[in-house]
Order: sequence, then structure tokens, then C-alpha cells
Amino acid sequence: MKFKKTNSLLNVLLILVLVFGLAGCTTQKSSEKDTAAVEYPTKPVHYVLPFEPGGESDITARLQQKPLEEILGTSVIVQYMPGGGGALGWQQLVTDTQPDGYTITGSNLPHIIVQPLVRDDTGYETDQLVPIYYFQATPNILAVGKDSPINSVDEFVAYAKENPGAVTLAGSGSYSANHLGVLEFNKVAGIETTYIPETGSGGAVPQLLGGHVQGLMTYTTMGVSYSKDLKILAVASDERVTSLPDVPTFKELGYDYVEGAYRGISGPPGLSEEIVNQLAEAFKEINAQPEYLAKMKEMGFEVLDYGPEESKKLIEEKKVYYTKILKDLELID
Amino acid sequence: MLDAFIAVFNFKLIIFMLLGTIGGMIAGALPGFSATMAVALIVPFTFVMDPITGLAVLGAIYTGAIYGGCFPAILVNTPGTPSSIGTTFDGYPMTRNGRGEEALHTATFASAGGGLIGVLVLIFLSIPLARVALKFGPPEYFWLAMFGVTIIASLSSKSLLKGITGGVLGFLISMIGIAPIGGDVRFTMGISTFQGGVEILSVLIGFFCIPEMLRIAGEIRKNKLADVKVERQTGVIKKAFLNNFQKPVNFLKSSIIGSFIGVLPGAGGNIANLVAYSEAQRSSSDPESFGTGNPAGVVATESSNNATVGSAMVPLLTLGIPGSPAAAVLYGALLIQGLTPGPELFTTNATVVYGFMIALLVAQFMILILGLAMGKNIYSAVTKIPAGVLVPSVIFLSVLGSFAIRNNVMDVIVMFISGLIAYTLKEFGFHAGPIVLGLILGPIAEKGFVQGYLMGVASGQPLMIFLTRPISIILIIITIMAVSWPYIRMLREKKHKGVTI
Amino acid sequence: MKRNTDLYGGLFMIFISLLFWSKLSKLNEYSKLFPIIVIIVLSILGLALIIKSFVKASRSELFVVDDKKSVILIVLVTFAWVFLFKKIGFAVTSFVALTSLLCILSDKRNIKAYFKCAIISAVEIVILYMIFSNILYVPFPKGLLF
Repeated sequence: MKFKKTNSLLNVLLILVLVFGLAGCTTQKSSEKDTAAVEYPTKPVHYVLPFEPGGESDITARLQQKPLEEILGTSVIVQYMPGGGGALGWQQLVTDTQPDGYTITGSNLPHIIVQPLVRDDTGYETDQLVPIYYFQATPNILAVGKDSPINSVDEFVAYAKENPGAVTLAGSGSYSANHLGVLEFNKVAGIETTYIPETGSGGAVPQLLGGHVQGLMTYTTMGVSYSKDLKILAVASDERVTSLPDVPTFKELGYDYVEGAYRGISGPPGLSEEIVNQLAEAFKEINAQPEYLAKMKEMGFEVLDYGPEESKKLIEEKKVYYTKILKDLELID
Repeated sequence: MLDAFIAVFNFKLIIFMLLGTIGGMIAGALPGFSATMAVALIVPFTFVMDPITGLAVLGAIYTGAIYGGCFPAILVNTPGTPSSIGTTFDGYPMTRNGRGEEALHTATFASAGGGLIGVLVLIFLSIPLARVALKFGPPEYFWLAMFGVTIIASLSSKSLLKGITGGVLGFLISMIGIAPIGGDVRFTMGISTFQGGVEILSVLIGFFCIPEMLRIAGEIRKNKLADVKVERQTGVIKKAFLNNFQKPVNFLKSSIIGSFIGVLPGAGGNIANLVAYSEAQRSSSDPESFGTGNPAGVVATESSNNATVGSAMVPLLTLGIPGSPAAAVLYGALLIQGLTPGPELFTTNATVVYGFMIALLVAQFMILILGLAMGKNIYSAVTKIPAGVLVPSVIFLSVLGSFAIRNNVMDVIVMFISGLIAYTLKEFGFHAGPIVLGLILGPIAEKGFVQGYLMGVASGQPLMIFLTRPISIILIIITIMAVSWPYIRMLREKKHKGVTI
Repeated sequence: MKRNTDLYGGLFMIFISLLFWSKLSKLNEYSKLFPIIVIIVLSILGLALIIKSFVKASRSELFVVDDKKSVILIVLVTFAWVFLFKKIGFAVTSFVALTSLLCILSDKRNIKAYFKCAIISAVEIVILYMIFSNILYVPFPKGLLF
């Protein structure tokens, strides 16, 4: 009796083990290359994204995944850990991750700066994340629908002045570059628009397409993806972006408004300098690959090269900048 | 179109799809491991494949995963994915009545059939459906959530008051975390992990699995064979087929419900299965039997959830907007393959798009064949496990599964604590269904309400905006009908009885 | 003894409402809009239950369990398991917990049976570890002895 019971259980287990063994074999192969010379990495590296899939960070990570695997000589696993607008992933990074270089987490500015300033208990502090590389940015863009009667920023501002509070702009996140961007732009242009936050850029565009909001304060990448459906009025960068050559900058038009999100990768506190530099070198190499560069630019990303030291400086600068803005906007005291 | 056919029916692609389907089924069957995770895991492997093969494999995994969720739901009352919550309502009682194998096969036919309809909707109705989906703005999502709330009525077997209270409790708990509008961190009670909210997958596992495991554990000393009557059953497959198709109204209606809800970004399999279940119960001639092991319940939930797979692709392929998180992963995969989702995709890369759709069709047949072939073995294997080994093992799997969600120990603790709370609340008469429904619908209702309110404020009519838009009005009417239907029915029956006397 | 479940349920809901209400003060306008509505509705429902408990109570026996001892033990063991999971590491806590659970529920009470439990436990842990760690890439908390 006992024998029969365990027999079919064993059968099922056997089948499971076989299937997984097959799957396991295919994954082991890639990590066996090049493990000889380098001490790190000898195991797969987890590239954690603290957001839902499909966003800007995700697309970048997917483009980087293969080149990274080749350069590091080990497999790179992209994992999603959404929650709290990124806070959950960053909290995990600083409290729960071994500083052995096998887990690195995508990090975004202004998020990692603004969140600890505005929230009581994010679970992490900006300085706890060890910046490895900041490799891309997406400036904000102001867009309206293809059929909108508004054709320029001036017309938009005029309309907003006639209808204070009535103009709705959708964007991604709260206290994100889109959100702060709307508040900053409101101040600079002397208008009052209402920001409608969506959880993720992907949610903002349908709001406009469906006619539920009147405009978007979103990223250049959305502008490129939906160029056929949107009229992009201006981009909030210092100079025109190559992916949207016909779009003027706010600065050109007389509005001192520059804002956008920077994206990079960070390690847990205590990560050794050698590993940081090794990873930074890897990302630098990827940034130089013509195929990668072309693809990123095509999609609307600005490709940047902020290594560990430059990133630290950038974050410090931005900290001062955002603290001032938040105080001006009375979001913090 | 012909190119697409030829592209799909080649040996290598079929084999990969088969592996993908099996892998997806196993991933879906592991509680805590979701369809999205399974798809995300395999994406990098698809980069070396040509676009059609890559997409076909991902589609197969997604299909397999949503289908796979029914196995633990039926066998151990634990939904493998949130899309199978409703399957526990009648699937597990069927197992306890000794009809588990029938339940599995019923779920298989329902899933394959529902998935088929979902893909057909994708193929033939993409463009018009996408346009309608776009028209769903915040007020519409709010009313959709409110309509969802009426489902609570069908899930609260004994006390409607307790059911509604449970649902509202679920709403409240779903508010833990970051406010969708306003961005403040709410109700975290000092636990920073709660910034991201209460992880629904761990609550699901806790709510459905733990109380049942504790119940079984408490009864083991009794003659355990009395719990699961494992009789030799012949003709189970035929019975399952008839369950689905003899009176196809339930099946068709549920698949259509699933197809439609799947198109809406942000609403997916999680909600579809519950709406379909509720509708099936409402229109059944024997509503009280739902929840005790009525196969129609399984048909409703499993056909609707698989229908969402195909329809989640509608907004993705037509507008570039994913209809579900798993579709969002596919979005990334498409972009990397150099395909920009959107209307041009149908013209510039028609072969790939149609190839993908055809592959999805093939995937439905794969789950049908695999499911029917393996169903019996899996059922007998699981039921032969003595309860004294099953309970600890399932608890172990729950611990692992809830950890696997996002490698956070807090999720494991939440899983167990919510399990204990659910066990206690059940003793007080509050069942898991309405609470979980509140948890799922809460964020949708809140986002719809507050965003709509903001839009209303901007246009000068803060609350009128909820009552003046065409689709909102339709949803309001449907909601009112749903709420009053049971009473209308009662009145009708009384009238009938009055006449015959 | 039959207990008044309406009363217990109602009190629980009121308790939760008050708990959440106390956390509202720090929130801004839009963050507290929906919660306020929900808390108010929940308290009303809780009150309704309490009123009903006096007027027409539902009474039922609570926690009717054949083998209370085992259930309580299982709860305690699993409790320890989830809280020590991170501190002591996956393998050790799982092995001890799983073996204990199997022993609690096993019908025979002798060394041989307990030994069998330990074996089953070890096999399950190894197989599932392989699956979750190597195929699903889930990093497990490392404590004593990995």
C-alpha cells in the first residue's frame, strides 16, 4: 500500500525535476563562461527594478541586459520589485541586500532625493544608495492632443490663465519629475493647472487619448512613442533633444523651466569601490556601443555618462536644488 | 496572413511553445508566483529568437500561467494566481465532494475555450474595442469598481451585512501605502514595507490557504478518508465537457465578460473571474448551489480569466498600452525586438502580429491537451498524499511562495498573519471572498474617484462629472440592475407562487 | 458555548475604524478623501452589527475543532517559522519547522516515525530550494548554514 502511494508521487516529482533540470541546464551555461580570470562576478547578477514592468527603467534595463551579460561574463536577471513609487525597492537595497555586487537596483532622480525629504518613513535615505552610474535621462515634455486647438506653449499659458485650475495635465507619479515639473511650470508661467497623477507613464497617455485630460506633462520617451497622436509643445531641457528635433525648449520660448528624470543604477551601502568601478566601467562600455546608443536615442532617451564620482556630485547638486524647490512650493518646511 | 501561418507552424516554435506552456502552468500553479513573473523571467531568452518565436513563447507562458492557477485553487483552496480566486469557491468544494478530477477537467475545457474566445476577440475586434477602452476614464473606472462591489452580494452566502462589511474592510486595507493621488504615505503603522501597500498575493495565499490547512489539520484525527472521497470515476472528461458546453450560455457569457474586462488597462483577470462568477450565479436557476461545488462556478471563473489573456493584448497591440502587468512585460519585449506597439504595427509588421495571434490560438489547444492528459495524474498524485504530509507541505509552499513574490520577508509574515485573521473572521461569519474583492477593487475605486473628482473640480462640477458621462451612465444602470435583481427575482417568485395557489 | 458573532464582528470593525482614523491627521486633502469615506462607512456597518447583536444576534460555536492541540501547535510553529525566517536563514528554520509540522500531524509517535518526517522534510526542502533558487532565481535569506 505504502509503496503504491509514494510511486505516483515520485512520478510527478520526477517529471517536475526533469522539466526543471532542462530549464536549469540552459541557464547554467551562460554563467560558465569567463569565470576563470575575474573574482567578481562568479554568480548571476540581479538587476532589480523598483517599478512595474513596461516603464522607462524597464526598457533601458532590457536593452542593457545582454551587453551587460557579455561584459560581466555572467547572467543578469531583471527583477521587478514595485511599490511606493520605487521606495520599496530602495528600502530593500539599503536594509536587506548584501554588499557583494550581486544585487544592484535601478535608481531615479528626483525620486530618491525627493521621497526622503517629503515622506516620514521611506525606509531609506538618499545617501545610503551607492551610486554606480547614471546612464540616461528623459526631460519632461508638455503635450496636447493632435486635435487640440492649442499649438504653442504661449497659447497654452494664455488658455490656462483664462481658465485657472481647469486645465488638467496627466503625468507619472506623485513627487516625481512630472509632478514637480507641473508645479514648477505653474510657478514660472504664473498659471494654475491641475496635475492628475497616474501610476506610471503608461497610464498617462491613454488619459489624454481618451479625452479625459487636456494635456500631458510626461517624458520624451512617451512623446516619441506616441508622436503620431500628440502635439508636443516644448521640452524641458537645456537644449533641444535629438529624438524630437522640431520641439523647442521651454528656455528658448522664454520659460525658465528645466526638469526631467535621471535614471541610473545603485548598489547597497558598503559596496566595495572595486566592484563599483567594475560595474561603472561595464555601463560605460554599454553606453559606447553604437547599437545601444542608436536604439536609446531613437526612443527618446538622453544617454548620459555619470560615473560614481560624478553621480555623487550630481545627487548633491540636485539635493540642494530640490530642497529649495520643495520649500518654495511649500511642500516641506 | 499565410506567411504568419507558415511562420508559426514550424517545429522549433511549437516545441518552444510547448515548453513555455508547461513552464507557465507550473509557475501559475505555484502560489505566490504570478503570470507576470513567469513572463518576465523568460523575456531575456527570447531576445535570441526571432520575433514571432519569442512572442509566441511569451504568449504560451502567459496562457499557461493563467490556466495553471486553477490547480491549487481546486486541489487545496489556494489560488495559484489572483485570476483563480473565484475558482476556489466551487472548485475546492468539488474536490471535497470527491469530484476534484471533474473540476480540473472542467477548468481545462473552460480555460482553453475561454482563451480561444479571448484570442478571437483580439483578432477580429481589436480596433473597435480599443477605442471603447480609451473612453474609460476615471469616473468610468469608479463605477466599474462599484459594479464590482455588487458582486459581494453573491459571495456572502449567509449574511449580506457581514459580506458588505467585509468588502469595506478590504477597501480600507487596500488604502495602506502611498495614496494614488496626493502621494502621502498612509496607514503604514510604522512598518516601512507597507509603503508599497499590503501585497495582495500574500494576503491571497494567507486568506485562502491557511484557514483551510488549519481546518484540515484539526480534522485529521477523524477518519481522514472521509474528507476526500476518492472514487474511481469514469467518463469524467465527458462530464467536464458537458459542464462547459451542454448549456453554453454560462461559458459564452463568462468568456465575453473576460474578453471585455481584459481590454481595460488596470482591470484584468483578477476582477474578470469574480464578475463572471457573480453573473453566473445571478442568472442561474439554482443560485444557492454556488459555493457548494457547482461546476458552473468553475466554468465561469476559468473561462473568463483565460479570455483576459488574449484581450489584454488588444490595447497593447493597437495603442501600445498594456492591458495587464504581464502585457507590460511583453511591451518591453516588443520594443526590444524593434517593434513599436501601436496602430502601425498592423501594417509594418503584420506577419509578426498575426503570427503572435495565431500562436496564442495554438497555445489554447496546448493547454487543452496538456491539461486533459495530466489532470488525472496530478489529481491522483495530490489526493494520495496523506493529509498529515499535505498540510505541512502546503504551508511550506505558502511560505516559499509568499517570499518569492518580491524577496521580502514581510510578505511571509503578512501572509501568515492575514491567514490567522481570516481564520478568525471566518469563525465570526466574515468570508474571505468579499474582503479580497474589496482589496482588489479598492485601489481602482479610489483612483477613479479621486482622479474623477480632480477632473470635476477642474471643470467646475466636482461630483456631477460622475453622473454625466455616457459610459458612466451605462455602468450606473448596470450596477443598479445588479443590486436590484435579487429583489426583483424574489418578487417575481412570490407573484408566481401567488398565481398557482 | 454559542458566541455572539455579530458583537465580536462589530467590535472588530469599530476597532479597525478607530485605528485607521487615528492615522489620518498627517495626510493631505487628496490622500485622505477616500479613506475618510471608507472609515465612516465601516464604522456605520460596525455599529449596525453591534445593534443587530442585541436585537437579533447570530450565535454560533466558535473554533469547533476536533484536534485543538495540533492546530495550536501548528500555529505556534508556523509563527516562529515566519518570524525567524530572516534571522536564522531559510534552510535551518524550514527544516526544523517542516519536520515539526510533519511530526505534529503524524499518527505514530515513535522515533522511527519522527525520523521519516525529518527525511521527507529534507527532501522537500532540497527540491523546492533547487526550483526556487536556481530556476526562479529567488535569493533566500542566508543565516546559519545558508
